[in-house]
Order: sequence, then structure tokens, then C-alpha cells
Amino acid sequence: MRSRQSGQWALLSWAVLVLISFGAQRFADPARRGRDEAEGWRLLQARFIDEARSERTLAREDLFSLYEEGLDGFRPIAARLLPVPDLSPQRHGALLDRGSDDGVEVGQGVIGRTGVIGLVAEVAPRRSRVLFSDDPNFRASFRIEGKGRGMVAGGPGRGELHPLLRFDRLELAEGDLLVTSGGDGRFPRSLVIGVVRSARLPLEASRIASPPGSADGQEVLVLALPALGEKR
Amino acid sequence: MTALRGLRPVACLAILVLAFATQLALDPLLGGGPDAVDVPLLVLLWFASIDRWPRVLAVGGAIALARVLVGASSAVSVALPLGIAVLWVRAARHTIDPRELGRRAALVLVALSLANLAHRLRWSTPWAGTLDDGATGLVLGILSALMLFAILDQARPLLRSADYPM
Repeated sequence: MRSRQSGQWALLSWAVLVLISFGAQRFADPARRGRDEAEGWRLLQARFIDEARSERTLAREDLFSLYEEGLDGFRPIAARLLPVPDLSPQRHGALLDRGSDDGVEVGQGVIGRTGVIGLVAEVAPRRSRVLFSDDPNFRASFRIEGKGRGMVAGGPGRGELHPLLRFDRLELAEGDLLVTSGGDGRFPRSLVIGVVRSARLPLEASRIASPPGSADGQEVLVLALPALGEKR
Repeated sequence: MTALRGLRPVACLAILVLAFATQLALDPLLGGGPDAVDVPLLVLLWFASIDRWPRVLAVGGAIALARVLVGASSAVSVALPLGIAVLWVRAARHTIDPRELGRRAALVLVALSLANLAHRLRWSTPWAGTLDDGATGLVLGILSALMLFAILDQARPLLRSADYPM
């Protein structure tokens, strides 16, 4: 009986430690820190689209207007990221408050105020799950202005991506800005994917920092291809 | 029904809920990816080192099911790392005594490395990472395992069948 009580006390102590850890999140939340950095990335993205609008606060309507000329005919579906984490620690994603009823389909690109957010991985009628760009299952084609094009994959670490293959003779250098190359049916051209943090050989060992602040409950746009016959 | 009662579902469920809660609590503090501390996996390794197959399978199945339902992972990508780590512990526990602290750490180190490799193999660029990718996760994983196993050892009387195999 005594040993059973000690077992119950052990589990109770564990629960208290978990509660303390949840409390400590207030002081060490990377999403909180990332929000400040995200502002810089947003300005970078805004420069590609329209420099004159870079000072505006971007709510949903502003997100539409930020990208209104830059979506190459993609039909934007406004959605909100719900911070429901993935229970696998190696995966990184969240829920969207839009689903197949709203026209969301698996494989569609998701963008936010800082550029590329991720891809839609699962769809239910009224919600869907998005994989962030640092998830190991994320893939996108990229280009570096004046250098060449390639394909990038998410991971291996949180907040980073790595090159998967190159389509041209391409050498990365620290600070290179990767933007979407367009034409893959997921993203239009010139959306920010990330910045090369470390350039190594082989190319796959290089690391690209993704825009921070993607995990908080921000407004995003899901990019749907127009139906056949629909004017792009 | 008798078999289910033998699994001590309430105690197992309490431990699993605490494991996932710990995971969610640590995630923003330590970050995710290969450097993450996979607390439910550590709990599963503890069960694998001391308990019967039915309970190990039940706990492993519950972890895999939760990750498939609340996440974007497929059943294979969830089950592969868990399965390989459990099989290693079940095979090694007859020769490596999990009661000794150092050997227990070695058992966990190999299990976590195998799970990490299995996770990388699941993706198309398994060797894209360098050696330092995941090294922090291994160190944190071993330290977490030693602390967690001490708590779980205390909780062992709640799981009637759980005991060391020797």
C-alpha cells in the first residue's frame, strides 16, 4: 500500500513539474521572440511586392492588398492559423480554420505576411492542417536572383530548411535570399522562403533560415489554382 | 475485459497524458526537430525495458494513434522510429542490465539514435543532416530519460506486472 502511495506521489510530482514548465513558457517562448524578427521579414517581403506599403499594419484585408498584384492568378483563400501543435516533435504544423468546404485542397501553398508559411497537408470539411516550411515533408522550388534555381526541403532543425537539388549551376553564399520560382502550381513567383544561414558542401548540408513567427495565430492566405477555363 | 484490466489502463493513461503534456510544455522551451526531447518515446522505452509485451504494445499503439490523429504524420512515419527503438530495447535488455544507471543511459542512447536514424530514413534526404544535427537532442534525451525513469520507477507499483526482467 505504501509503495502504491509513493507511485501516486511520483506521478503527482511529475504533474507539478509539467505545470511549472508550462508557466516557464511565458519567459522563453520563441514565438514571442520571433514576432519582433518577423516584422523585419515582413518588410523584406513587402519590398518585393510594393515598397510604398511596407509601413502598414497587415490584417486580413491588408494581407490581400499586399499580395493583390503578386499572386499570378492564384485565388487567395483567407484563413487563420490555429496554434494546435503536432504531437510528433519532429513535425511542425498547425491547423487552419478553413477546409474543403471553402475550397482548400491538399498540396496548396500557404503564405503569410513574412512570405511562405507552408503547404496544406490534410483537409477536412471545415478545417485543414498546414505543414510549416521547416517540416521535413515540405518541398518548394526556389530561385536566387542572378544565380539560379533549385528545390528546397524543410528541416532538419526547427526554423530551418536545406537545399534538396539544383536545376542550374548554383553555389550558395551566406545571406543569399531564396524566393519562390513559380510554375510549380503551389506558389507564385517572388515569395520569400528564407535566407542562407550557412553555405556548405555538399549543397544539401547548407542551412536556410525560414522566416520566424509562423506559429502564432496569424492571418494567412491559402493559394488555390483557378479552375480550368477560369480567367487567371 | 480481464486482459484490459491487466493492462492497468488508468495508470498507463495517466502516465501517457503526463508524457504528452511534458512534450507540449518542453516544445517551446527546447525547440522541435532532431534536437527535441521525445518524452512519449522515453516513456515507451521505459515500458519496453521493464514490462510485458501486451502493455508495451498498448502504450506504443496509443502514442502512435495520438500522433497520427493529432498531426500530419502517417502511420508508417510514426511507427517506424518507435518500433525500431522498442525492438532494440527488448533485444538488448537481456544482456544490458537496465537497473544500472550507466547501462541504462547506453540503452537509451542507442535507442534514441536508432529512432533518429529511422526518422531520417523516412524522408527523401536521410543523410542531408550533419553529425551535429540531433547531437543536442541525444544529450538532452539521455538526461531527460534518467530523470524521467527515476520518477517512473517510483510509479512502478501502480503497474502491477511491471518489473525488471532479471
